Amino acid sequence: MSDGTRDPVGDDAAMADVLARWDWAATPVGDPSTWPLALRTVVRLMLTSRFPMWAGWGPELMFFYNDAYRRDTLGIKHPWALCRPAHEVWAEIWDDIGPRIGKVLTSGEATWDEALLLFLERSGYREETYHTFSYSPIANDDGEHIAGMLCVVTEETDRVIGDRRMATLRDLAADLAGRHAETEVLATAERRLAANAKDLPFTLVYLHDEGTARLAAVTGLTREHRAAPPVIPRGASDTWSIGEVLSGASTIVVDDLADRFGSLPSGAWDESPQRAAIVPLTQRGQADPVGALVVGLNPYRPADLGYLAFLELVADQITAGIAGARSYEAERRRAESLAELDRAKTEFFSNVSHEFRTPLTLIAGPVEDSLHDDLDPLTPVHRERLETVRRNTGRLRRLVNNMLDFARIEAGRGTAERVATNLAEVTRDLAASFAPAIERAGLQLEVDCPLLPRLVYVDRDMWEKIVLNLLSNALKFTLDGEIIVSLRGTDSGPELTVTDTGVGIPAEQIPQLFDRFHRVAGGRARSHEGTGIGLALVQQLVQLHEGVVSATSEEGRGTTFTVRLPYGESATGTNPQFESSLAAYLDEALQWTTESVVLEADSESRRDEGTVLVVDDNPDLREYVARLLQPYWRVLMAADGQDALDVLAETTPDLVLTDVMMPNVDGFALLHALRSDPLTATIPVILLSARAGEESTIEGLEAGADDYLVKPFSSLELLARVRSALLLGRLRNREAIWRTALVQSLDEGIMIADTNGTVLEINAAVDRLLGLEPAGAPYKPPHPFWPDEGDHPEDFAAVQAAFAEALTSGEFHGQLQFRHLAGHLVPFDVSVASIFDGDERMFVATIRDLTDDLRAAERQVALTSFAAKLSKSSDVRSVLDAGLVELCSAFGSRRAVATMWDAGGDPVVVSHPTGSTWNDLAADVQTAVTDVAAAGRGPVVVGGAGAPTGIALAAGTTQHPIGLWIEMSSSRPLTADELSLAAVVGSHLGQAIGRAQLFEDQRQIATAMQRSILGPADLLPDVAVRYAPAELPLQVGGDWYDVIELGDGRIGLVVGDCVGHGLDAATVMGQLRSACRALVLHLERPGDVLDALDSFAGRIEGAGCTTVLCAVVDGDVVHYSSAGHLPALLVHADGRHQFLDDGRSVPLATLAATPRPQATVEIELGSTLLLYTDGLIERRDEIIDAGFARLAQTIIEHRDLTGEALIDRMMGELLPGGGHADDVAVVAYTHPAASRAFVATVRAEASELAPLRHSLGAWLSAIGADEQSVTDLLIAVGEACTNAIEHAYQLSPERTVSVSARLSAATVSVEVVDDGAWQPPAASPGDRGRGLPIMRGLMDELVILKEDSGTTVRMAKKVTLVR
Amino acid sequence: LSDDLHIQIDRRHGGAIVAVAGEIDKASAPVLRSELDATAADQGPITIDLTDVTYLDSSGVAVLFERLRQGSTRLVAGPSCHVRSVIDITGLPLEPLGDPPAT
Repeated sequence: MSDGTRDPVGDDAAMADVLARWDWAATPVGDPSTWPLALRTVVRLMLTSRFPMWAGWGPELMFFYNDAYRRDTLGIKHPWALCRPAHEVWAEIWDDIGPRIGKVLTSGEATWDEALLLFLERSGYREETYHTFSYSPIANDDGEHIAGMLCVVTEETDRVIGDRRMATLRDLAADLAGRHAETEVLATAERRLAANAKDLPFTLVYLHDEGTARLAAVTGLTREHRAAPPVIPRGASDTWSIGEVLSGASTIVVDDLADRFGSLPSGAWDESPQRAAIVPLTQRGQADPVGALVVGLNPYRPADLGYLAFLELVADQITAGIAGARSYEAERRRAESLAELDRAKTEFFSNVSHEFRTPLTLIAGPVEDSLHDDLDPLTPVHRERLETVRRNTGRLRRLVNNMLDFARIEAGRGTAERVATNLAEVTRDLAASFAPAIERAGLQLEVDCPLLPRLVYVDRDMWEKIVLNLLSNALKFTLDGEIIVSLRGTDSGPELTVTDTGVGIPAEQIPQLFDRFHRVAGGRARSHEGTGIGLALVQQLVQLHEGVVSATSEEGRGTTFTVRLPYGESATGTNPQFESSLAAYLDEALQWTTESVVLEADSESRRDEGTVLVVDDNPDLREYVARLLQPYWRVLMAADGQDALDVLAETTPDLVLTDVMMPNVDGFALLHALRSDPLTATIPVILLSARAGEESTIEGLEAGADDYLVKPFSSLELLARVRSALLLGRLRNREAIWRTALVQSLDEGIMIADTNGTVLEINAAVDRLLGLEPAGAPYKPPHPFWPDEGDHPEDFAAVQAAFAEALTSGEFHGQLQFRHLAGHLVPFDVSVASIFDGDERMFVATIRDLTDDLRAAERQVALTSFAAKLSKSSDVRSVLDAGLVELCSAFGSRRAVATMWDAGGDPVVVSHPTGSTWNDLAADVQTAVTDVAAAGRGPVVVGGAGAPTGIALAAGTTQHPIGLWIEMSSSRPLTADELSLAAVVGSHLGQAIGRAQLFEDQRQIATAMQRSILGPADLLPDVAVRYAPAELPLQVGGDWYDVIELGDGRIGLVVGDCVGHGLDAATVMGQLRSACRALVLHLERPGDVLDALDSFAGRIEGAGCTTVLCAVVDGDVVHYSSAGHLPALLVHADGRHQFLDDGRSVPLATLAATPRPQATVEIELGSTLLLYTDGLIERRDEIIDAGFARLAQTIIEHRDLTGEALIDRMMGELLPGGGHADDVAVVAYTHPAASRAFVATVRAEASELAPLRHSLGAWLSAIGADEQSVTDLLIAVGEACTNAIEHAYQLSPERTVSVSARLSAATVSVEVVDDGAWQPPAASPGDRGRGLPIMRGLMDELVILKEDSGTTVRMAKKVTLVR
Repeated sequence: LSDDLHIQIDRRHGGAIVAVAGEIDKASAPVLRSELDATAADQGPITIDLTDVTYLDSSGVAVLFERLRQGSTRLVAGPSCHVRSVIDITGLPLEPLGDPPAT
């Protein structure tokens, strides 16, 4: 009720006043003096109760109600409803309540309804409300007839609707978790939103899609409904103002649905929504909404903040679901497009190959024609050229065909067209037709294909390719010996083997032999051409016949391929056409074999292959050799060794062909000069000598020549030797260059050691890794990089053991610590292998620095633990606390600082270690942190040049920017690794903070709910209450307080604490509080109240273990009972104190505790009684006794304070800023209650002064004020009254003066009010002018308020209370 | 006379001792004034004993100042005086209670 000015007939008047002024004569119940006792009793009961009640009296059930009912339930029906028939007052719900009332009146039994839905029209519209109420009969004075009924009601609308919304949010969150597809997310959202048709009569989800909004989900409407357009373009025809919502990113409400759409479905109600809210679907941290949620609003609820906040939480859930699905989808698409790329590659090859066929035919045809043109025969030169063209087109065609076959089979389009085949005959024929190429290569062909016991069903074309590929493969890799083709019939099918005596295949390469594009590396072969597709094709073809192909090989001895097929059955019965590939295979094979016959002048190889320096002092021989070589290579000439060296100074030939016997510098000298210069050391040298005999040959070779030719030599032999020497030289050269480049470029360190372990050679990396210079080799063991035996005995021992192992077994692999020349140890991964260089065993050691690996592994561990720790924190502050600690350890940094900005834009800093302030940061750091936070960027490196380096990066969201500063211990440069780690950490933190902020938003709603349940705090003047939600970790709890006026000056005081946090606890709390309030009003004895509350709590899920303290102040005693709650604190005016720890029992709904004990304690004037929950006194790392002591000390110190002032001071000292971990509910009561204060009004006459003084004096004595204070107070009050009488009312003695006084703690406050003008004191202290100095002298405080309407004198004096 | 104000006059040589007891407020101050005026007119110098005054407001203070201004008057009070604080504040010249002078 308002304490403002009271208009006796206005809406704000108390019901008691309204009733007093009512024109009762005009009503059926008549004047109150004539009312039956029962009616008078009921009306008085109602008027003194703060619990909402109404009563119906008489046959028409004339309507009476109290202030609480008027405020909570009746709304604008007051005062119209007063003394009106109940069925008129509640016409809209009479169908619901009429029968219940009828039953009460006829049977005399009370009713009880819990949370019953009633549609009230008390605010100008039909409203969805829930009430828990009981109707009880009122007997007439005769005690026999029922003359009326009383209703006690609690409105539970907020709780019921809050529960319903919470359930929707909970279900939505639970169902959306783990949905990976956007369609699934939308379908789930549809299902969940449809389930709450009360708050969400219809909903539409529109997703932003390139300038338009597309309908993605709908509930409560058909998709055909005109209110649900499938696509909304931006602009004029934007049915739902979606453009406005998307650009403004805030919710709007439209209220003209009927005008927009005509009739709409009504959801769970019987009336269609008139209003709709359009809520943006905004992803956290993103500026642009992904879409909008349109919700038709419950026509029976106001679109208040709670409703809209609920819708925004729904929107948040949907947005999060969609965002998750989209990123999942993007991930999936990436994977698919990779697979697609693979397919496309094969497809591309196939297409390209196909495109080659036509031009190939057009090339091959005319060439063929020209070669066979007898009328106009080609000249030998042209014939030779065109033969080359023909051979190569043939080869190209075979490659293309293979490619196509392969692609077709791989694409699943290849099928074996099997026909009955005499496989032995076919195979024999194929082998025979390939024989010329084999024989020409100087190889033997053996064909062993006896008739098979039965026909075999194979695809002839494919079989041909299988056999020919195997044969050509064998020929290619067999330089001498034989090739054996063998076919055998086994029980399961034919078995073909093709065996050669070729170079063989290293065992480790056999598994990859049939892989596409795989080519055996480094083997000798007739040709290095080829695509590496032949054997892969063989395997594919064999597999199409459900067969297997395998290979066995021995290096240097030969290879055997084995094909096993089933006999098979005819698939189609047809005998398809096929084009034999034989010619193409044969042609190519023949080409390889002719290549070894040097005579053919192959123009392709001319000139490009190198330069030969010919050195001979005989000009004829020199010219002859040059002529022989010129068709193939560039030829330089020198007349002797010295001349040759001059040429070599200018240019580097690929081969030197030199005579031995020459003037000046002879052949051996030239050879020696060449070999001793690194630039020319690898050039192959062929010596020409007239000296025959083995000795001279050996002499030449020992001198380092690559070959030795004895004159006279045949031209063919010369060319062959030159050719092979050039090849060898190129290989050697390339290998050497490659080897050096490779070894030097490796990040790994390479060391080469001799058989004793002496390091002969190291690469540049070793220099970098260990500080050893390559030029410093050889290094003898123990090597300089061994750890110091004294400082690191274990590491030294490990290296020593590894060294010994490598020397004996020839290999080692493991991790070792080596000593850098600078002294520090570095971890390495070390591999040692041994090789034989000639007869000598050499060791190659590879070392790889593990520092980065180990650091990366550590960081991975740190990141994992970082993410895990963050996920445990549910509020921004604890996310940051955990995050900063982890940051410091991940970076080994000196400190980490997070900065947020408060509403006023001032920076708020959290740091690890704690204690850093904004001003501790350097100016450039402040700027960088502000910039990155505002832009959402990072990481940025700041500092260096003496100042510590650090990284600034953003970690917050757009709404709540947060800037991080990670400060390193020194001004060292930061690595790219550290920056990328910082970026990852920042994004982890950002996500965690986003989560926490969502959680905080929910908490704010929950806090608002909690506060609305607990209600306003303006209760009784000497009772103050306070609820403070936890600040850390920012959770709503289940604490509550309650103050209940019980009449006769008695007051019920309650505090309680439900288990748990969050909305669940708040909901339980609301129910328990309502129940407890009703029970206190009804039962009044605290022990009984808690007994009854026990059984109530037993029926509410989550109410178990709730602790409650219930106290009733009754005169000068307090009765109390505690259900496991902390003891109340009683502090007397003189500073004595006690904790009320009697009357204790177990928490609610735990054990049977009936009857619960109840205790009584006396209280005194000025005593303070404090009820509280554990958040007020509990501290981490502290025993609770310390909390009790601190509380007592605080209250004793401030016992002079009362009410809000006391609570303010107490909370300020016990919960200093920085937050408390639990929520807190507090009730503070100062005895006596203000209802016992002194109030008197007297006529403005001098004769009234004495009686007034005496009654005030009696009151002051009664409260225990000391005698002197009493006298002083009486004199001061007397002065104020005298002044009012003398001056204000000289002309109208009928006026009155009112005096009120109250005791708060040990201070008496008095207020004297008149409505005249205060007289200022006379200029000289005349007789009457002494009043003011007297008052001022006697009182501690004096305030005189002079207004046109009158004068108020307020004074106060601290008194000594004596009992 | 007011119920709450009692005035006892002890006449002696050269004056009188006026013992005031009870409450002096706006209503009773005129009574005190007339008693004092009458006593002074009859008896000469007077001593006013305020020991038993339980209430004294500015009206009473005014009467006392008026009497003092006319001379031949002194105020006394014993240690148990209730209204000493008002007397101090207003500056009334109060003497300790002892044997009356000129006995």
